[in-house]
Amino acid sequence: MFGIPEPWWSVIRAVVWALFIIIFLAVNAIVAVWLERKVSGRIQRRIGPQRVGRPIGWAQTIADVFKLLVKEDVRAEATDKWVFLLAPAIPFAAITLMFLVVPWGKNLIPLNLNIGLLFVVAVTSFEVLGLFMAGWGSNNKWALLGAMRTAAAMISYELPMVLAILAVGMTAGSLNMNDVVNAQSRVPFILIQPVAFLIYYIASLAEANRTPFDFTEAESELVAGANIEYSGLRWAFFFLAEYGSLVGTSAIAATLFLGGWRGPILPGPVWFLIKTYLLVYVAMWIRWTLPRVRIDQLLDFGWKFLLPLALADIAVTGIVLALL
Amino acid sequence: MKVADIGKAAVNIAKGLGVTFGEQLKKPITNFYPDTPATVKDGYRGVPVLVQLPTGEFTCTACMACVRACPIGIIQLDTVMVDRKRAMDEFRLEVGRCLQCNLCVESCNFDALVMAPEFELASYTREPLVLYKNDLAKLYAKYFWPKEGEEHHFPARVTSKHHAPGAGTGTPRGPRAAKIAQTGVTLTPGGGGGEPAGKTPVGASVPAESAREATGTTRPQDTGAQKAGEGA
Ligand code: SF4
Ligand code: SF4
Repeated sequence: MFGIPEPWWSVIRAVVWALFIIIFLAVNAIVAVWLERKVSGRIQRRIGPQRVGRPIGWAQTIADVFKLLVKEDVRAEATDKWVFLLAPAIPFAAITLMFLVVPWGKNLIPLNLNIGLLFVVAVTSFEVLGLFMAGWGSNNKWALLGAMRTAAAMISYELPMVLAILAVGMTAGSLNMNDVVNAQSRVPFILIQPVAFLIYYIASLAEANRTPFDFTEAESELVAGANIEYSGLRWAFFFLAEYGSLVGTSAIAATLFLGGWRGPILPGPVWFLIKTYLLVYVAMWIRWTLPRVRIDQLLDFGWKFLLPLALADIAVTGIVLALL
Repeated sequence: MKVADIGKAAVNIAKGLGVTFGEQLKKPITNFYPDTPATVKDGYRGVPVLVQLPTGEFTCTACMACVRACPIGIIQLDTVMVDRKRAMDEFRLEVGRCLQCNLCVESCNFDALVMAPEFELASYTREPLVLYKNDLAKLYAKYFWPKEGEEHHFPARVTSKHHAPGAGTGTPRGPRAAKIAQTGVTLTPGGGGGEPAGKTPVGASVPAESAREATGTTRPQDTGAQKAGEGA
C-alpha cells in the first residue's frame, strides 16, 4: 500500500497502532481522573477541581502528571530490587495488550485475531501478576496483604467474567471481536444476554479494582495496598494501569454488549468512545455510591453466586441455541 | 448467602444509585470563598472587640470583669487614673489563643465588649495576633460603625441570657458558680480559679504609668522588635 513493500507496511502499521494505544491510555488517564473528580464532586454536591484551567479545572490532572514526573523515585533498601522495579510495567503492558483486539470501527482494529475474546481474557490476567510482584517485592506487610487480597479477588472474578464472555461468544458464534460486533448489527447483546452483561460488569469492577471491590487500594484499611512503597513515575504507572483497566473493561463491555462502534449518524470511533465512557461513568457513579465490601463477602459472592449464575446462563444459552 | 438477600441488596443498591444520581442534578453548595466574600451566621463568634463610639470614646470602664472571666487569661488591662477615677489605658487580647468562649462578653456589665464576626486572622507569626485596644476598636468600626447617614446603635450582645432558660436572673448559674459564690473565690487569669477574692491578677490592675516607671519595661508594641514582627 502507498508503494511501501508489505513487510515494512506491517511494521509501520504496528508502530502506529502501538503509539496510538499508549497515547490513548495516557490521555484517558488524564481525562478519566478529571471525570472521576468531577463526578465525585457533583455526587457530594461539590464542584470538583476548578482553579487550574478555569472554569472547569481541565488542567488539574495535567498539573498532577508534572508533579508525579518530577518526584523522586524512592526505593527502600529491603525491597527485592528487580521484582520491585519491574512490577509497575506489567499491569500497564497488560492493559495495552488488551486494546490490541478492540475494534474502533469498521475494519479499524489493531489486530484482527480469530480468538480475540480469549486473548482479552488471557492478557488481563497478567495485571494481577504485576500487582502481586509489587506487593511481594516491596517487602512491606500492607503491600503484601493488599496484593494477596487483589490476587484472591481477581482470580475469583476472572471465572464468572470468562463465562460471561463465553456466553457472548456462543451467541455470536465466533470469538473474533469483529464478528461479535457484526452479530449485533440489529440488536445489541445487552438485550439478548442481560444476565451475562450484569455478570461481566460486576466482575469487571472487581477486575479493574473499583469500589465496591477496590481491595488493591483499600485506603482506609491498607493505606494504599500493593503500591504503597512506590512514588513518582512508578506509582504513576500503577495509576495509569488502574484507569486503563477501567476504560479497558468498559471498552470490552461496550464492544461485547452495547454493539461496539455500531450506531447511527456518527462515525464508528465516536460511538465507541461514547459507549465506553458511558460505562466508565457508571463505574464512577457506583464507586461514589457504594462502600467497599468485606473480602469474605466478595469471595462468597463471586464463588457462590456469580459463578453458578454464569454457568446457568451458559447452559440456558446452549439449550436455546440448540433449539433454534 | 441467600438468594433473597441478593435480591434485597440489588433493590437497595438501585435505591442508593438513585440517590447519588439525584444529587448530581442539584446545584453544588460550594462557596467560592476567596473569590466571593464569605458570610457568617448571626451570632458568629470571631474576636471579642472593644466598643468604640464614633467620637473615639471607649465605653469600657476598666472594671476587670472580663479579665477575670477569661478562662485562659489572655486579656490584660492597664488602667490609669483620670479625674480620680480608674479608666482603661491599654487593653491587650492574645486572640491567637482565644477560645471564642464568649465568657468575656457575657461578663461585661457595660456592653463594652462584643463579638465581631471577623475570621480572616491567619498570619505567619504570633505577633499580629496580639491585639491592642486600637486594633480591637478598628475591628469594631469595621463591623459595627454606622454607614453614611445612619444612626449608631450598639450591636446586640449575644449572651447565654438569650438562649439559656432561667439565665440572666442575677443568681449564680451552675454548680461551679454556686461554689464560687459560696467560698468567695474569684476566677483569675491563668490560674485555676481558686485564688482568694481581692487578690488582683499580676500586672493587670497596677496603673500602667507607675508600673512602667517601676520596672523600666515598655509594652511590647513600643519596641522595635515588635514593629519588625508586625511589618513581616
Ligand atoms: S472569648 Fe473566651 S477565651 Fe476569648 S478572650 Fe473572651 S473569655 Fe477569653
Ligand atoms: S468587663 Fe467590659 S467594662 Fe469591664 S474591663 Fe472588660 S470590657 Fe471593660
